[in-house]
Amino acid sequence: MDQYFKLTESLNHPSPSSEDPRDHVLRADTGPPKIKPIVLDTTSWNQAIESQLPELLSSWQAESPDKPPVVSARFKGRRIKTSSYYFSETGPAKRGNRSSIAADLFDPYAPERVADPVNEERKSGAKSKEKKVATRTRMKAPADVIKLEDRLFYLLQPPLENLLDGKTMEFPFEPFPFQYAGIAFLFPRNSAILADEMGLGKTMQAIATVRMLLRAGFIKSVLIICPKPLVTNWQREFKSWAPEITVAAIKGNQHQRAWHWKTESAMVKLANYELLTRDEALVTAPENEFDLVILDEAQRIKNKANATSEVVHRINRKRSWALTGTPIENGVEDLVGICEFAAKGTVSSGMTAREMRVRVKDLILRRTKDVVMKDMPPRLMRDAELELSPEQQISYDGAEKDGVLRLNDMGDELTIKHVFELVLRLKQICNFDPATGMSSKIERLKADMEEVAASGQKAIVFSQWVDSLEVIGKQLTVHRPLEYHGRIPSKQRDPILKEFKENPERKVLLMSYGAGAVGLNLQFCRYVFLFDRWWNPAIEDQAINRAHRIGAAGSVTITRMIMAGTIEQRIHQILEEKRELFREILSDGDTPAKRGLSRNEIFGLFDLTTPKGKITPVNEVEDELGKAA
Amino acid sequence: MTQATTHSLQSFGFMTVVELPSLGHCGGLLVVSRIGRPIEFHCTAPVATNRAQQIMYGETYSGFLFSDQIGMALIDKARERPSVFITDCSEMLPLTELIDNPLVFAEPVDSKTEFDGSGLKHFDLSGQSVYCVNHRGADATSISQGVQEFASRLPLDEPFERIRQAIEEAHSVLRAA
Repeated sequence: MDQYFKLTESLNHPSPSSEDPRDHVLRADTGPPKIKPIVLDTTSWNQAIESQLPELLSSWQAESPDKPPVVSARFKGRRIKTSSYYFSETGPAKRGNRSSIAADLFDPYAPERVADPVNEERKSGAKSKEKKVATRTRMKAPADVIKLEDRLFYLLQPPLENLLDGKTMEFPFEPFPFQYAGIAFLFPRNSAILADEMGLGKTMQAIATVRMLLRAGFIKSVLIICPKPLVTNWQREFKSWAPEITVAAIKGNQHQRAWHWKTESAMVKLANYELLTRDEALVTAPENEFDLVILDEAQRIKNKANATSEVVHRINRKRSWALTGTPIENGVEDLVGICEFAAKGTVSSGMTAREMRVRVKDLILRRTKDVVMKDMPPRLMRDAELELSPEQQISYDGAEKDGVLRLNDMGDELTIKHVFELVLRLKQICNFDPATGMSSKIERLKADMEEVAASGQKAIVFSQWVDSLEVIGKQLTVHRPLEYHGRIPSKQRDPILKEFKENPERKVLLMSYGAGAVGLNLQFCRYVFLFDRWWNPAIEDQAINRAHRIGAAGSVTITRMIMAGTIEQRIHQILEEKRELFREILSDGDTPAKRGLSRNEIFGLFDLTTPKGKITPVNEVEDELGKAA
Repeated sequence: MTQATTHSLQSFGFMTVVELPSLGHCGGLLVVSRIGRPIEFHCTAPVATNRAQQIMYGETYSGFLFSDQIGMALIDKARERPSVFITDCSEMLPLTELIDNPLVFAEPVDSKTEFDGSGLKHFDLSGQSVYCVNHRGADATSISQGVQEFASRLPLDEPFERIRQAIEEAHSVLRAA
């Protein structure tokens, strides 16, 4: 708006040499001035005004002689530059694919669902309503989104708590704040690794985000790849968290699967890793393009050279998300393998842990229970250091002595694989004496189980070996144990879990690490026993988290059985170092760089010298250990 | 409250001014639907304090800068004319003389200066004082009810938070460019 001012300046006290420009200040003057006009632009002050406001002196007018001399200046405000953003015309939605369901997520005028007050109260509860006010989770564009209008599109949306408040999208219960943050992380990303600790709801976060993307019209076709036993779990979760989204599991014989790949019109297709290599030609066909591919338990592709990884990398896709609680199981190479799928080229094998942490910072979201679930019951770790029974001690000493001698005699022929064979032999003796069947561990387990059963609780016992589980089962018959491992056919597994959950007389479930480590929800169990130790801490954590997850009824006590003075104690130290490596890359802290397990450390288990011959990579040995289970 | 009254306020124009260190003042207008979803967003370039204007306008300078200059620049850009403008910035209240739409002042909870709202329709929302500065022919009661209904979905300070973050984002992107 234009403004007009009458400007005068006294000439009675001119001070052109003054350094203070206020000596020449123009002042509004309503009274009859007794001064003569001056040329305004002779002073530094007016030059400053003119340089800032070019339109200041837009008009000059000489007054008639009978009036006091007045200089008039028209003061015109500058036009302020503005940037505008219209949501109906811009933003990623316009450029994305439209799905076959109503794209109403970001529609400003979307109709609202009429909520059933009784039902709403049941789902959210008063506590979560308070939380909604306190928490505002905003979507924020990742670093690779350059255009300002795209960045603002996310930032100017209402908080997720409001977008997903049940008026346009119904959820079975209110997500936790960290789950909202996970959704806000996934939604705008083409490449993402959600690496939350097991039990924090990665599946639910992924499904809720998929639902939002479909409802926003950003995507229309999704492929989810998971381990075979988890397919039914994904279907169940979709029914709860995204009931309007059509989901089809790819299964059956070759012809049926071909039909699914080519013709199935469901918005979400579910496939298991096992069939990918068989259906390679179909899944990687050029006409089969997915807007989003999600890998569940993505550590399956940590080895980028294996057949499954190669197929996964070749799937035509626009967005790539990896879900894993254990992006680093053995070493940084695991993360390289997963990144090869999610964001090819982000990290490479030669990088240090510190470099890698910087590169993946915007790609990975990792939360642990101790940080985000302050209200979650505690996880109580208890290391039961036991002495070998006399019979076990004799067997152990003999096996170790003979084994080490044999390894030393192998000279340059010695590989890490030979060392691991001895490790496995000694670990088995730590479980049971091969000659007599005596076991300090089983005695301790029996005693502990008495307490567990007496308190009306249930327990899971993990072992690396199915043979060990069977022996344990015979020793715990009073607790009517159930077994869940690789020798149990897939069709029988779900009924076993159901029986364990529902039959109060079934006090203990005996599980192998391989079969029971991922995807199962056994949060009604308050006790977990690790009868022997897996080589990899991530697998142990997965096992523990079957019980210690959202919905856990109370504190979960984990008993790790370690035979003092044996190979188990040495392995325990290595496991702790691996945990440190994991924390180093995925935490925000500035911990000094540390190396993973070195060749010398592995040979150091038996004080062996490093041979010059070919060494089997650790991952291969790990795979062999897996097969042994 | 009748259904018709509730739906009479279809959109809300949240408007505020942010001071960016060493750059000046930057205005933002976020027009949202009655369920809080964005329709339009406008922000100004930073406006540096003009010493000459400051001297000439004296105590009225802030009102002139925030309302006549920044506020009107934003409103001129809006394609959708909101049912009501809401500001948390008392210096923008002179806008009431310049626009035909109802104007509401949502006094910030942490405001250091006391606002003299005598004579204005006033109500409290979760401890926040809200004043109908003008209602431009509309029923003041229906405006206050519409605002309260909006606030039942989103606290009134939330859209202002979006504006501030968006302005910060815009300027961080421009700085990086």
